[in-house]
Amino acid sequence: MDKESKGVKGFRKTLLMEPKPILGMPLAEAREETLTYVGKRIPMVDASEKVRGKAIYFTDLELTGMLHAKILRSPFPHARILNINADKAVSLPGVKAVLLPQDTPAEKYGPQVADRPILASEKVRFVGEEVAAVAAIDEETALEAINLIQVEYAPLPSVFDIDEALQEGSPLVHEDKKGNIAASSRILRGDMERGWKESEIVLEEDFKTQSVHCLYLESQICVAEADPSGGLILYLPIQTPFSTRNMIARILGIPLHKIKIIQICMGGAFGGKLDTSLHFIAALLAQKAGRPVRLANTKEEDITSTFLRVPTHIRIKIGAKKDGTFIAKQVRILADNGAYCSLAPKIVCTNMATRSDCLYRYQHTLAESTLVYTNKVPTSAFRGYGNPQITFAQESLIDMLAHQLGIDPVELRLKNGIQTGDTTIHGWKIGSCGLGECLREGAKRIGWEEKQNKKDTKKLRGVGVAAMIHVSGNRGALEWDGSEAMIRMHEDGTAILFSGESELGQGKNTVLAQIAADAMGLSLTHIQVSRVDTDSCPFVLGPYSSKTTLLAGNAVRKAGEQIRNQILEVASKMLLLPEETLQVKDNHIYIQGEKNPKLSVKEVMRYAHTHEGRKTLFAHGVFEAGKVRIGPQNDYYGDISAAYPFAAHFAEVEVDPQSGEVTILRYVAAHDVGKAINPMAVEGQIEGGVVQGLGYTLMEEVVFNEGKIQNPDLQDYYIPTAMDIPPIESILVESKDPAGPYGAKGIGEPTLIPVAPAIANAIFHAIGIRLTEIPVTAEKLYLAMKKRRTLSNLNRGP
Amino acid sequence: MKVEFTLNGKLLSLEVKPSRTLIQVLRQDLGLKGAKEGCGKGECGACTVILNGKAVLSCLIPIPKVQGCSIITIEGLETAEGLHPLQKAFVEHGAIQCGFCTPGMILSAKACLDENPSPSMEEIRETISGNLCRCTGYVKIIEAIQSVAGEKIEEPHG
Repeated sequence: MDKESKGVKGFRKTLLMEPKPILGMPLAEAREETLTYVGKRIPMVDASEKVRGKAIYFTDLELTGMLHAKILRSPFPHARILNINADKAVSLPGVKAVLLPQDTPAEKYGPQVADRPILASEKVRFVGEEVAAVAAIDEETALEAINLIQVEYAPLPSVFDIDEALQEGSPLVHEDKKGNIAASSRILRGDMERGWKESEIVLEEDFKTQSVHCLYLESQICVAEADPSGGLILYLPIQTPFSTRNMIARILGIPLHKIKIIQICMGGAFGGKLDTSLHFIAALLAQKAGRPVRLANTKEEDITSTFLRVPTHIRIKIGAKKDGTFIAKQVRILADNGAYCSLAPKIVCTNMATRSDCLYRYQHTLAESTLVYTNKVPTSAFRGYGNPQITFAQESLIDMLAHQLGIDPVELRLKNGIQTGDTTIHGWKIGSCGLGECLREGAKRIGWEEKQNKKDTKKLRGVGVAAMIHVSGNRGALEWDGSEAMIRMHEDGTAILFSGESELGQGKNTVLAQIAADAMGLSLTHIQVSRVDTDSCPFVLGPYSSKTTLLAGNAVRKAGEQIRNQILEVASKMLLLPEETLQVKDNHIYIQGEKNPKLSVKEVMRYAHTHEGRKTLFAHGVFEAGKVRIGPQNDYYGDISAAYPFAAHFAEVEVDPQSGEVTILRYVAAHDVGKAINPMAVEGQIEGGVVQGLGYTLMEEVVFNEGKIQNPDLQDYYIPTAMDIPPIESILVESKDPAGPYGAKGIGEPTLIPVAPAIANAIFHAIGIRLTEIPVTAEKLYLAMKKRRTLSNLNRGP
Repeated sequence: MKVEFTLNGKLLSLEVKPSRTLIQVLRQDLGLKGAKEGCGKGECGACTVILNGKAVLSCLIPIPKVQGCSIITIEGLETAEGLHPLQKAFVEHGAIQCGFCTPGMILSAKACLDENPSPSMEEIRETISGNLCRCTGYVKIIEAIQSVAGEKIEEPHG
C-alpha cells in the first residue's frame, strides 16, 4: 500500500488509497508499471509562465486600434422602457459606436430557454440588465458617454420572492410565462403511498440555501474583432466555446467558418463562465465601429449582472425502517431563476431533482421541482450544478434520522450506500464506487468513533459527516456526451495536442499532457498543449460536469495510442523489424526487453517526412460516453454519465458560546477519484473546493434589497482568506472506473458538494442546534443559542 | 508631470498624468502585465507590488507617490540564474491554479520573508490574508511559502 503523508507541520496530509479488489470488476489498466507521468505529482505545465507574470490573460490583451466599451445598465428591477435618447453620447468626441436595443437582432437567446434579449427591449427585468453600450477610445470616454444616454423608464410592480412570484395576481416577469414558472418537473419512482406505509420512521424538514457568486478573480470580459469579410474573432473566457460560437452564428446570421473563439489564460470560472451576456454586445460594437472592442466588467458589474448560484427552498421527507434501511424520499424544490433562464432549468428540474437520490438505495422517490422567475439577476451554475443545495438538505436530514434512530451517522450511510454494480433508482449504472472506503477511511482519519461518542464537556466541539455522489459528464441536455482530441507530430519528434476543452486553471492542460505523454511514449517536455480556438480544435462540449479528465482524457489517450502505433509503423520500416517487437519510450524506439534505444523519435520523424509515402503523423481520438439522453422524454430515467465520483467529508468544529462563531478545527475530505492522474492537482481541487464550500456554508451571501444587490464588492461580500482556512486533509480513493482513462473519474465539483452538511452536522453534534439555512453565520448561531437559553430558563421556572 | 523611480533595479523617468495609479502606469505605459487588476479597489490583492520593501496595492497608489521609490514587480524576480526560490516553490508545490492571484501572492510573501526570513505559519497566513485566491484554498500556497522560509535568498535588487 502506497501511503503518503507529506504534510508540512501537520497542515496538509494526503493518504493515497490503493483500491481494494472488488469482485467482478475488470482491471481497468494492467500496464501501470509502464506509466511515467500518469499518477505522478507533476507541477502544472503552465506554472512557470504564471509565476513569472508572463502568462497573458484576457484582461491583458491589447489589439491594435482596440476600443474600450461600457454598458448602461438598468437601475430598476422592473420597468417599461419608454424612450432612449443617445444623441449626446453619439456626438461625444472619442465615441466610436453606440449600441441601442433597436440595433440588435430581435431574436432572444439562452443556452436552454431563449428568453433573453441582447439589450433590454421594451422592458427591463432586473437591476443591472444591459440597456445600451458604447465603444470609445478609452474607458473614461466610454463611461462618460453611457452617462449621457437618457433612458425614460416607467417602473412596474416587481416580484422578488419565489413564494410571492407563484401567487395568483403577482406581477409577471415575462408576460408569456404564466405564474412566473420558468420550468418544472415531477419525477416519481415506485409508489410513495407504499413507501410511507412501509416506513417505521418518517422525518421531514425545510431547508434554505442562499445566493452566492462564483467570484473567479478575473471578471467577465470579451474582446471582439470584426473582420471586413463579415467574420468575427472573439477572445472569450467561456467554458462552452463551441456551443457559444454556434449560438452567436445563429443569432447574428454568420456561418460557423467565419466565427472564431480564441482562449488564452483564464482567471477562474467555477461554472460561472458557462454563460455570458457580453459576447453579443462586444461583437455588435466591433462590427459597428470597425475596430476591435474590449468589453470588461468591473467586479461590481460581475456580481450584479452575471450569474449567481440558484437559491432554493427545499422541503424534504425521508422514511426508513427502525434498523435504518431507507425506504422512501420526497422533495419539493422551489428555486429562484432570476429574470432570465441561463442553466437553472436543467440544474433544478433534472439534477437537483434526482442526483442525491442515487447516493442511497431508496425504493420510492418523488421530486417536484419548480423554477420561478423573479426580478433579480439570473441564476445559473456554480461548482456542483444544483447538487450542493440538495445534498445540504439530504445529508442534514439523514443526520437527524441517525440521531433519532440512535444509529451512528457513518454506519447509517454505509448501510444504505449505493455500491459498485448497482443500478440506482434513476437508472444510473454504477461502474465503480468507493463510497464505503471514503466513509471508512475518512472516519478513521478524523477519529470519528472516539469523537462521536466521547464529547469534550468543557468546549463546544463536535464532528460531522456528509457524503455525495456526482457525475463525470452529463447527458441531461444533449444528444451526445464525449470529447475529441487531435495530436500532430512535428518534424523534430515533438507533438502538439489539440483539445477544445477550456483551461480554467483546473489543470486540464497538465492532465491531458500527462495522459498524452504516456500514451505516446514521449516526455512531457516534448508535448505542447495548443490554446483553445474553435478553428483548430475539434468540437467539444466544454469543461463542465466534472468531465474533462474522463472524457477528454480518454480522447487524448486514444489519439496518443494511434500516434504511438504510427511511430512504430515507421520505425519498423527503418529497422526492418516487426512492430510488435518494438516500443516507444522516453522519445526513443526500443526493441522490447533491450536496455539501449535503437532510434530516437526525432529520427523516425525525419524518415517519415523525407521518404516515400511521406506524411505528417496525425491522430484524431474520439471518446463517446455512450450513455442515455435524460429528460422528460424518458421520464428522466437512464444512465446519465460515463462514471460517478463519490466523496465523504468530515468536519470537526468548535462553537464559541459567547459569539456563536464557528471554528473548523480539522477537515477531512475523502474522494473516490477512480484514479488520480495527478495527485497534487487532485489535492489542489479538493482544497480549493472545500474552502469555497466553507465560504458557502459560513460566510457568503449576496444580499438583495428590493432587487438591488447590497454588497456588490469584496469589501462587503466576504470570501475566505488565508486566515479562514482549517487544516485540510485529503484522502484519495482509487476505485478504477472501467470507463475512465487509467480508471480516472472527475473531481472538480464533488469537492464542494458535501461541505455545508458536513459542517452543519458537526455544529449540531457540538451544540445540539440544527440550522437549516445557510450561511450558518455567527449571528444566526448566537441567536439560536440565546433562544435556547431563554427557553430552558422559562422551562426551569422561577 | 515627471516622475522618477527605480523599477526592478532600473532607474526610470516618466512623463505621466498625476491622476494615474501605479498599476495603470505599470500595465498600460510600461507593458508590465504581471500585476493584475482584480477589483481596482484594493480588495483582492492581485495588483500587489513591492514598494520600498513593503507589499502595497498598486491600484491604490497615485503615481506621484512613487517619486524616488524603489519598486519590484513580479517581472523583476527572475535572475540570470533562474526563478526566485518563491517562484520555484509555487511551481513545485502546486500552489497555482488559474494563476491570476499568483504574482501578487508571491510578492506579498517576498516582502514578508525579506523582513522576517522565518515566519510562523500564522504569520504567513496573515501576510497573504489580503491576497484573495478563489482556486487553491491557500493550502499549497502556504506550504510553498513555508518551504522557502528560513532559506538564504540572494537578492537581485536589494
